[in-house]
Amino acid sequence: MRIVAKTLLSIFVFYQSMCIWLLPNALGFLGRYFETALVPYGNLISLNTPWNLFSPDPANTMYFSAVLHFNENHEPPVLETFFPPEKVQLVTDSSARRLLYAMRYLFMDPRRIDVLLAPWLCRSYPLATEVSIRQVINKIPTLDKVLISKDRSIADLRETDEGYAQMYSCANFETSHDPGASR
Amino acid sequence: MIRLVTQLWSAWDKFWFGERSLLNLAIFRIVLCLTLGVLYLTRSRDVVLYFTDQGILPRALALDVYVDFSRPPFLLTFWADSWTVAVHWVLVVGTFALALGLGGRVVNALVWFLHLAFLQRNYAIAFGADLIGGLLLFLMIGTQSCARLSVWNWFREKKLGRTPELPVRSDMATGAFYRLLQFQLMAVYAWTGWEKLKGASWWDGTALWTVLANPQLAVFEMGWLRHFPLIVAVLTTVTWIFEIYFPVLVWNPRIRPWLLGFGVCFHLGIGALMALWGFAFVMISPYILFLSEDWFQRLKMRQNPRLSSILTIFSRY
Repeated sequence: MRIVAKTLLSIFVFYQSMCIWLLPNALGFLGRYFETALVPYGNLISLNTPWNLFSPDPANTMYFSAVLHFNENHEPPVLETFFPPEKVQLVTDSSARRLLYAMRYLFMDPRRIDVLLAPWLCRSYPLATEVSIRQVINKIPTLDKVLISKDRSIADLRETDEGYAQMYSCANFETSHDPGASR
Repeated sequence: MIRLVTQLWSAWDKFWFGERSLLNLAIFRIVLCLTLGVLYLTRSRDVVLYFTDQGILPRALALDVYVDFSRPPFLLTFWADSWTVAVHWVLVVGTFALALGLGGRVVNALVWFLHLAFLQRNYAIAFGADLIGGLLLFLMIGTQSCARLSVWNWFREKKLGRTPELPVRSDMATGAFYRLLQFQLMAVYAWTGWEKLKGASWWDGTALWTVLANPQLAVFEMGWLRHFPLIVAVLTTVTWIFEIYFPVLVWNPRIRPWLLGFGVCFHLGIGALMALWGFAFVMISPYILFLSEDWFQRLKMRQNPRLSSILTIFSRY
């Protein structure tokens, strides 16, 4: 009985070890070769994760700027908001900080802005008719640059870039945020 | 040939199914579950925002935020939105119960399942601590993590009127899952280090400047580091060297205490400079699994009688 249990456990530890070591690079050759055996299980337990913490390069300061447009009789008719709301300031509260992570996640793929951020902003401001969203990247000067420009402050050396920008009509999202759709 | 196979099996058996320290496992459990418990507790006021259709991410899109290759086959979040707050409190209470050593493998499995369900429900807001903590929780299910340092043992003592008999030897599954926990930590370090080598700024030795000069990440104003560029270069290089070589060096008994000591300082440093305390303690928690079995006895035998008596009481349960 003990030997059977040990054999079964041995098979499991071998399989789990393969998942632990291969799935972080699941798109590499070995990951693709063993894809059918490892990936479904890895996806189920969230083990199929590349451990790219602060890599390949640490990110710059970034945030979303959103301008909401309301009907003419609304006061104010236009409102600018940011995501995360703190913009470039640090948030130490661990729960609020999750919005910063969400922002970085949305930043990586503009389609996520189309399907997540824009509808959410329209839901958050039900009287808004349109929302205009743009990515703002506040580039941190490189260490070499700040060393060369000793007489200038870091704030002066920062450069602001704009990424993806798009205008959305909130009317397009009305069906997708029907509360009756939730379980 | 048979002799070789026997020797290989014997080595495999010793490595995977040998005895493990249940005390180390219990301390690991306490640190991990307290850390995750605090993370869950702090997000409990934002549960509606993060995990219901009234919040950022509608349920129908929960799996769409994953990249195709790592998307789970189905969503584990089976409850209605109206139950989300209550289920989240079950997760919070369950995690703290596990930290106290209550419930063993059953509560451990429940906590892991709920953790994973919430993680899947809104993957976009996940911290590294959530991902790594979830995997550690999963592997902890296979161990006797609640055998020692458990409130249940204290309760039994009160009921029986004498110290209850505690398990001395770990079981077969504990041996195997203890090793897998070690492997998981090693793999996270190794891959984190290798991924960094893809980035020009890590190779260049300036990546930490970008992190510490980023006001969204650093707690303190670290601009003064521009006057000490060597510190930036050394810390950047040491970071990826530590991460890449951890899985190899940790098996050397002479280097191990120094390596783990450095790792503790490294993570506490990240915690202090970037307010990433959850990540720091989730990463430090499995360190205890690399300590030898007698470290606690040696600590008890220290000259300080007060410390010794506290540790004796502590280890009775």
